[in-house]
This record gives sequence, structure tokens and C-alpha cells, in this order.
Amino acid sequence: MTASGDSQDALYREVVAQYGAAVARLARGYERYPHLRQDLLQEIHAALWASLESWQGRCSLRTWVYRVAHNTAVSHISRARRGPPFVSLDDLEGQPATANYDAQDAAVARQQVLDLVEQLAPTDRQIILLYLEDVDAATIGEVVGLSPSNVSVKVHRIKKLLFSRFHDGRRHDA
Amino acid sequence: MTPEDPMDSIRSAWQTLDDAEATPTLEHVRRRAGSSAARFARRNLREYVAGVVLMAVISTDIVRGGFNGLLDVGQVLIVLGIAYVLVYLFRHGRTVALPEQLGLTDAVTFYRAELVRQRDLLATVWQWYLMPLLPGMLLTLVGRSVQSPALWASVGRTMFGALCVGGFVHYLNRRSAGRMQRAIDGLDAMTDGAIARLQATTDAAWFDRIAIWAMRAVALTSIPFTVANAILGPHSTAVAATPSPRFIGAFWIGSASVFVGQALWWFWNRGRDQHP
Repeated sequence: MTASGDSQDALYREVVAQYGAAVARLARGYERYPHLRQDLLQEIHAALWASLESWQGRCSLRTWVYRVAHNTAVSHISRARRGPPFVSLDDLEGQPATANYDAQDAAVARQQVLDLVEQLAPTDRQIILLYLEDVDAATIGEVVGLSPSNVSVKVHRIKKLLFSRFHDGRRHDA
Repeated sequence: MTPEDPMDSIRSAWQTLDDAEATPTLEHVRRRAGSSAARFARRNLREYVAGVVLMAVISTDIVRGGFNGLLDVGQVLIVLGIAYVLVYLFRHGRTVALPEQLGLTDAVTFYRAELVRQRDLLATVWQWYLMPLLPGMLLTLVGRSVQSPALWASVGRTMFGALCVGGFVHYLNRRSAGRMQRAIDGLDAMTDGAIARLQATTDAAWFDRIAIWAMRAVALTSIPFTVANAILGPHSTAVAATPSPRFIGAFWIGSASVFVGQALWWFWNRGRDQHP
């Protein structure tokens, strides 16, 4: 094992410790089926490990990790496209809410978010997944490649969409 | 945002998502990283070996069998067509991004490049996969029919069937390519076309352009010659097992004219049309 190999391994361990759980959730947002999801997750980890040799502080580690993970996941869904075509935020905003849910019920909330995320086209999906991980608009912009103002508008629309699906339910239940 | 804000609840619910997916071990990750590249290299190698073996078999058949007129011309064109398909796949068919690119490229740029690559492969599949083989296949069919006139009817049926299947596949590919173009347009609208300007290629490579003009010329010339002989069948005097110099001359003059016509058309529309 070379010195650069050692540092690559050490950096990879750091990435797993800091972002391992977020990367696993990201994989869940791209792949519904467990056996394919495990394969995607391994693919992402392999890409992360291989890419870290070239990182060299060219951007923040967080931006690098999310870019590698999202780009690998997009390649995965492009290769294995199944199911109905993707929809955009515009399409979803035009749809009336079919049911109302209680955001306080974590299992229900997660399932609703996943149902929404799985329909979305990659760019909107990336923004919503990063938003759900508490990533700030500037970093989302760096990862996705949109201006911070563009990201802010998108995040605002995503919040509104999520809010409409849950808030109405809470009010209805109250 | 207050603690009771539903957005907080939704985000914390998301962050507790645990589907029990095991994080792979470092050893497994290293092996997987190595095997991805190796798997891709093996797949490419299989395609190239299959193409080269096919070319070798056809070439041996031509050399051993002596000159058989149109049949040999057709087979030589098939060998050249396979060679072009292999070169094209080598130059354009890459599907695995380098690890470094994954980290340096933002997600919209990466996704757009992926869509453009797939759109171009789909929209031009007839150009790089079907057309290179078409002239050779048509002339081979005619050559066999000339040797055995009883085959004319089956040649006609084969050609008709192949055209129907090819047309349907072409329609499906164009439809998929159109869907990808709409997705690309959506990304361009988001970025005000900035990535499109960055990724725009000025022109196709000279190799591709000239090869496509040449293949299109031979294919377009083969079609009327083949159709005419299929209609006239064994009564035709235009085609013989060993074609007359007049026939060969007419064929190549036709092909050269179509080639020059395309080149002139391209020069005329330069700057407006970027396709070869």
C-alpha cells in the first residue's frame, strides 16, 4: 500500500463516517428495489473511494461527495430506467393533493417524501434530497450547478409542495 | 422556522430513514472499483473480438472463393461497414465516467452530457449501425439472387421485412431521442443555456463526416440498383454474376454524385446545420 493509497483510504473512512448515512438515504431516493439499491450503494462507494485520489481540496469535501454520489446515481437510473416517465415540479404543483398526511408520523412522512421523490426528474430530485439533508442553498448550487437564487426558488417551491401535502392534513385532523 | 413547523418534522423524519443497507467494507469497495473498470473493458473487448472474427470469416470466404462479382463487392462492403461500427463504438460508446469527472462536474452538467450522449446515439443509430451495413447487405442479396434466380422472391420478402422492422425501430429511437431532447431543453432553460454553450461541439470530426457521406452515397445508390433488379429479376441484363464495366461504372458514378452532392449541401449550410 502506497502513502497516497493510505491517505485515500483514510479519507474514504472519514467520508463514510460523516456522510455514510446521507449517501445511503440518497441511494434510497434513487432506487426503490432493495437488491438494486444495495448494488447502487456499492457503486457509489466504489466511485467515492476511486475519486478521492483526485479530490486534492478542489472544492469542499461535502460538495465533492454529493457530486460523486448524485452523478453515479443519475448514471444508474439512466441505464436502468423503469416505470413511468419523470415529472417536474411544475407538473406536481398542478396536481391537486389526493390525500392529507400527518407530518408528525415519521413513517408516514418518510413514505410520502419517497413517493414524491421517486417521481421527480433528476435535477429536482437532487435539490429535494439535498434540502432534506439540511444542505444550504449555496452548497446545493455547487453540487447541482444552478445559481443560489435559482436553487432558493426551487427550494421554496419544494417546501410549498411538501407543506401542502402535510399541513392540510394536520389542519384537517385538528 | 418554529419547532412545530411541519418542514422540520419532515426533514427529521427523512434523516432517521434507515433501510438497513450495509455500508460496504473498504476491501469490498476497492475490489468493486477495480472490477467496474475491468467489467467495462471486458465488455468492449468482447464486442471488438466478435467484430474482428466476423470480418476475418467474411474476408477468408472472399479470398478462398475467387471473384464472385456482386457477392464479393457486397461482402467487402459488409467488412468495411463492421469496421466502421467498431471504430464508432470505440470513439463514442463510452458509458463509464472517470472517477475524477464525477467529483468535478456539477449534477446538471453531468446529466445533460449523459442525455446528449444517449440522444445522439439513438437519433443516429441508423447512421452508425444500420447504414454502414446496408450497402453490403443489399449487394450481397442481389449477388446471391443473380447466382440463383429462384431466390429473387425471397430476396424481395427479406428486403421488405427488413425495411419494416428497420422503420419501426427507427421510429421508436426517434421518439426516445425526442423525449431526451425535451429534458435537455428543460435543463437549458434552468441554466439559461450556459451549459449548452459550453458543451456545444463546433463540428463533427472529419473522419465521421466523410465516412457518413461515403456510406450514405453507397447506400442510396445501392437501393435503386437493388430495387430495379429485384423487379426485373432474372430477366435483367443490367446485373450479371460478374457485373459489366458499364454497370460498375454507373454504380460508382451514382455513388460519387451523391457524395459530392452531400459535400456541397454541407458547405452551403455550414454554420446552420451541424450534422455531418
